[in-house]
Amino acid sequence: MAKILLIEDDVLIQKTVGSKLKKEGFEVTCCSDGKEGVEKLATELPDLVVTDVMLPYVSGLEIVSAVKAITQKNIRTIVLSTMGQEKIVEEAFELGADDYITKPFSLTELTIRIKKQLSRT
Amino acid sequence: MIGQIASDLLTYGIFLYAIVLLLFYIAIGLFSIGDTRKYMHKNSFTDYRLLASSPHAPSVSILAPAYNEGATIIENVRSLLSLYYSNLEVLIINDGSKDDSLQKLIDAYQLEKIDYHVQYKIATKEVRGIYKSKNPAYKKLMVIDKVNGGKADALNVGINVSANDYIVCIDVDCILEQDSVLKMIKPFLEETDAKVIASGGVVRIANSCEIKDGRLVKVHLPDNYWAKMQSLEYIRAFILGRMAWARLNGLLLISGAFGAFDKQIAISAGGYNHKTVGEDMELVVRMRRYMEELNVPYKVTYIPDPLCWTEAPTSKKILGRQRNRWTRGTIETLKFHKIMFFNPKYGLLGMLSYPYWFFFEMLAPVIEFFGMIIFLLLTVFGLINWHLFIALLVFIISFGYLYSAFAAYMEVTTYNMYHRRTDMMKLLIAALSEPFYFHPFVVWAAIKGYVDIIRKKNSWGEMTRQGFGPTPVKK
Amino acid sequence: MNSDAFFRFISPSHLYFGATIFGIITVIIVLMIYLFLYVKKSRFRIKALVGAQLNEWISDALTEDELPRIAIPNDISHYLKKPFMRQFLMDNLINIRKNVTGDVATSLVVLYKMLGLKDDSVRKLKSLVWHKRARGIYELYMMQQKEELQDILEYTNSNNEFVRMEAQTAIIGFSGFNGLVFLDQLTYPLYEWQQIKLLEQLNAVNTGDMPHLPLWLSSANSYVVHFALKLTEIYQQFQVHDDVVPCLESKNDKIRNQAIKTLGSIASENTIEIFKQHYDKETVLNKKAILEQFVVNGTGAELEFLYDKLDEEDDGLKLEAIRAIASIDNNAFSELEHTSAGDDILISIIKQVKYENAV
Repeated sequence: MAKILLIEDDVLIQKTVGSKLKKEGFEVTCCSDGKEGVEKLATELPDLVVTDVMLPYVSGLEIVSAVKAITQKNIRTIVLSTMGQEKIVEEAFELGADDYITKPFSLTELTIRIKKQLSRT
Repeated sequence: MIGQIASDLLTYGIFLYAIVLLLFYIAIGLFSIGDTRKYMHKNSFTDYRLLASSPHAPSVSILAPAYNEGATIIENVRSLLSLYYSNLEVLIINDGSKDDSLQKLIDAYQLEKIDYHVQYKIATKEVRGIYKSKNPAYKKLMVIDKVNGGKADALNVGINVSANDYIVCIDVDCILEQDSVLKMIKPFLEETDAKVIASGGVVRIANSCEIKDGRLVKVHLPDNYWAKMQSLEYIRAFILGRMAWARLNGLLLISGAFGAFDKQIAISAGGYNHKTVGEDMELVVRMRRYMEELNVPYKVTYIPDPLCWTEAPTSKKILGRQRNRWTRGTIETLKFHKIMFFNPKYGLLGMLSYPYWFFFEMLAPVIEFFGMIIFLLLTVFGLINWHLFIALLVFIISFGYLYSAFAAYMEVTTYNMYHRRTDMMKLLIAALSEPFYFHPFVVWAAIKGYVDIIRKKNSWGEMTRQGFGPTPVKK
Repeated sequence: MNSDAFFRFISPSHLYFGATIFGIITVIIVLMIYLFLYVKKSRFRIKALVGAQLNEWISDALTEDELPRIAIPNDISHYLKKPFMRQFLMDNLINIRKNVTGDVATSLVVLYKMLGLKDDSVRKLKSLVWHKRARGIYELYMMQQKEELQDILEYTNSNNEFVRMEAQTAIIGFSGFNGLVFLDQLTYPLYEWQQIKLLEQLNAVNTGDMPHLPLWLSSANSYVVHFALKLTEIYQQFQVHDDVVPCLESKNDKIRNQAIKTLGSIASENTIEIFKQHYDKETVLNKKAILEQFVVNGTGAELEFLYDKLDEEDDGLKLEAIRAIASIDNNAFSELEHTSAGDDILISIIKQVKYENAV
C-alpha cells in the first residue's frame, strides 16, 4: 500500500481529500502546516507528497525542495494550489515537482494523477 | 483682583479645552462604529486568497530594516517569505549591523552578491552590496547591505532599490499574519477618483502571547502591567481613533511598524526624513501635504484587522524613553509642517487634523501637567473651591473609564482577540488604575520629551528589545 | 458670564451627576461585554463539539461513490436548528466548493439542498439588509443555483457596492464572457479588486467573444474603460487596436498606463511609432511602461530612439532603455558597454542587465 503525505492547511479540504484517498486504498498521513510537513516527511518517508503552495510557516515550494533533498527514496510530489499562474508552476517544476493540479480540482483527477506518478517509481 | 481674573481665565480655558476634547472623543467613538461594522461585513465574504495567486495583483515590496537583529533574523525572514502573496519582493535592509546578521543571512539563504544598479532617487548613505539567493525557493528575498544611517535612511534605501509599485514598511521583529499583505494592499485596489497614497494597519501587543517559529499561535493579554496598559491604549487608538480619522480621511499617523505606501508618491514627496525621530508620522504628513499642494484628490486608508504584533516595552524606563521619543517626533513633525496650521488651503488636513494633533496630542501633556499644578496651587491658596476641583477630576476620570469600556466593547464585538473572560476582566481592572498610575507616567515621559527637545537632544533613545523567545514560564 | 454664574452652571453636583451617568453607562457596557463573551463562548463550544464530527461526516459523504444517501446523524441534526450552526455549515460547504470540481462538487450541491440550506440563501436574497442580500447572492451563486438568480443582471448596477459586486461575480460565473454585458450599462465604479476577481473567474472558462469591446473602450465610465483595456491585453483582441489608441489621451494616468501595456500586447506595425510619438508627453512611470514594450516589440530601427533615452535623468528609464537594447540586438548591447566606459551609472546598469539576462 502506497504511503501518501498530504499537506493542506484547510482542515475540511484535508479531510475530504484524505477520505477520498483512503477510500482509494492509500495510507494517508495529513498535516496542516509546512513545518509539520517537513518533519513528517523525514519520519514517514512517504511514496508521494501532495502539498498546497500557500502554507503556514514553510511554503509549498520549500516542501518541494525538501522532498528533493531526501536521497534515501525517490519521493514523488504533486503541487496542489490555487496558484494556477504559470510562474509558480514553473518554479515548482524547477524545484523538482513531478506534477501539479490547480484548485478547484476534481478528486477523481487527483487520484488518477497520483496513481500515474506512483506507477513510475 | 488680578489673581482672580487670571484664575478665571485659566479655569474657563481649561474647561473649554476639556469640553472640546470630550466632544472629540464622543465623536470619534460614534464615528468609528459605523465604519467598523461595515468593514466587518465586507470582510466576511471577501476571498483575499484570490489576490495572493492572481497574476494581475499589483507588485509589492516589503521593506524591513534590520540593525543588530542577528539573534532572530533568520526566523523573521523565514516568516516574511511565507507571507501569502506571490507578486512580492522581501527586502531586508541591513543597516550597518555590528553583529553577524549579514553572514547569518548569507549562510541560511545561500545568498550571493549580485550586480544591481542602485538608483539614488532619494539621497541616502551608500549601499555596500545587494544579495540574492541561489536557491529558487527564496526567489522573493533580496538583502541590501548598507552603511549605517538609521531607520529612516534604511527605509529610503529600500524605497530606492524596490522594483515594485507598492511598499509595505515593517519592523523586522514584528510578527505578521500571513494574510497581512493581501489585506493591506486591498484598499489600493479600491481606489476611486481619489488616489490612495497610503494605508495603515493595526499594531497589537504580543507580550505573553504564544509564539512558535515566528508565528502567533495563541493570543493572551500581557501579564506585565505596563504592557497590559499599552494593550488597552492600542485598542483605544487603533479601534476607535484611527478608524474614525480614516473615515474622515484625516489620518496623520501610520505606525512605523506596519504601513503600506504608493512608492511613486513616497519618492515624489521625498521619502523618509532622517532628521526626525518620528519619521513614520512625518512621511504621512509630507505625502499628504504633497498631494494637497498638487491639488490632486487623495486618500489615506486604514485597515482595522489585527495583522501585526509587536513586543511592547515592559519597563518604566524603556516605555518612558519610547514616549519621550514619540513626543519629540510629534513636535518635530508638526514644526516642519507648521504652514498647514489652520490653513484653509490644506482643507481638512489644515483645518482639523493638524489642529487636533497640535492641541490634543502635542499640547495635551503640557496642559494636563501645568493645569494640574496650577489647579492644585489655586486650591491650596483658596482661590478656587477644592470641591469643584475634585468633582471635575471625578467627572473626567469617569469619562475616561467609559471611553475605555466602549473601546473594549468594540474590540470584543469585532476581532475579539482576548476571548478569555479572565483576560477581559484583567484588562478592565487594569483600566481602573490608569488615571492614577499609567497615565501620569505617560504624561511625565512626554514632559521629559519637551525638556529634551528644548535641550536639542536628537538621539533615537536606544530601545532594547527582549526578543521573542519561548513564552516565559509563569511564576 | 461672570464667574459665579459659570460655577453655578458647572457646580460640583452637576459634575457628579454627569460622572454618575458615565458610571452607569460604563457598567452597562461591561455587562454587554460579558454577555457577548458568554454567547460567543457557548457557540464556540458547540462548534468545537459538533464541528469535528460534522467535518468527518461531510468529508465522508462527499467522497462516497453514490450521491450522499447517508442520513444526517441525529446528534448533529439537533444542532443544525440553530442559525449560527447553519451558517457555520454553509461557510464550510462554500469553502470546499471553492476548492473542488467534478463529482464532489455535484454531491456538495445535493448536500446543500438536502440540509435545507438553500432556503436560507433564498431568504437572505430577499432581505432588505444589503449585506444579507449580497451574501444570499454569493451563496446561491457558489452553489450554482442559477434559477434563483433570474434577476441577477438588474443587481449588477445596484447602488450598493457589495450587492453589485456579488451580482457581477455571479453573472460571470454563470454566463462566462456573455455575462460581461453588464458592462454596457454599468454606471458605478468597478474597483480594480473586483476586476481582478472577474478576470480570475474568466480565466476558468474558455475564451469567448467580446463583441461589445469597442463600446466598453469608449465608455463614459472610466472603470469600464480600464477593465476593457485589461480584457483586450489578456485575451489579445487585436481587432480593437485602433479603439485602444485614443485611450492614450485619457486624463487618467492609470488608464494611459494600461493602454500602453495593452497596445504592447496587441501591437501592429505602427504601434511602436505611436509609442515614440507619445513618449515625451508621459509621466516617468508611463515612460517606463512604454520602454518596457520595446523589449518585446522593438526592432533595430528603434535603437536610435533608445540611445537617446540614455540621457534621461531618471536611472529607471535608462535601465529600461538598456534592457530593450539588450533584447533587440546583442551586438549593440556589447558595443554600448565599450562606448559607455567612463560613465559609471551606465556601466553599473549594464552590469545589472547582464546579470538579469544570465539568470
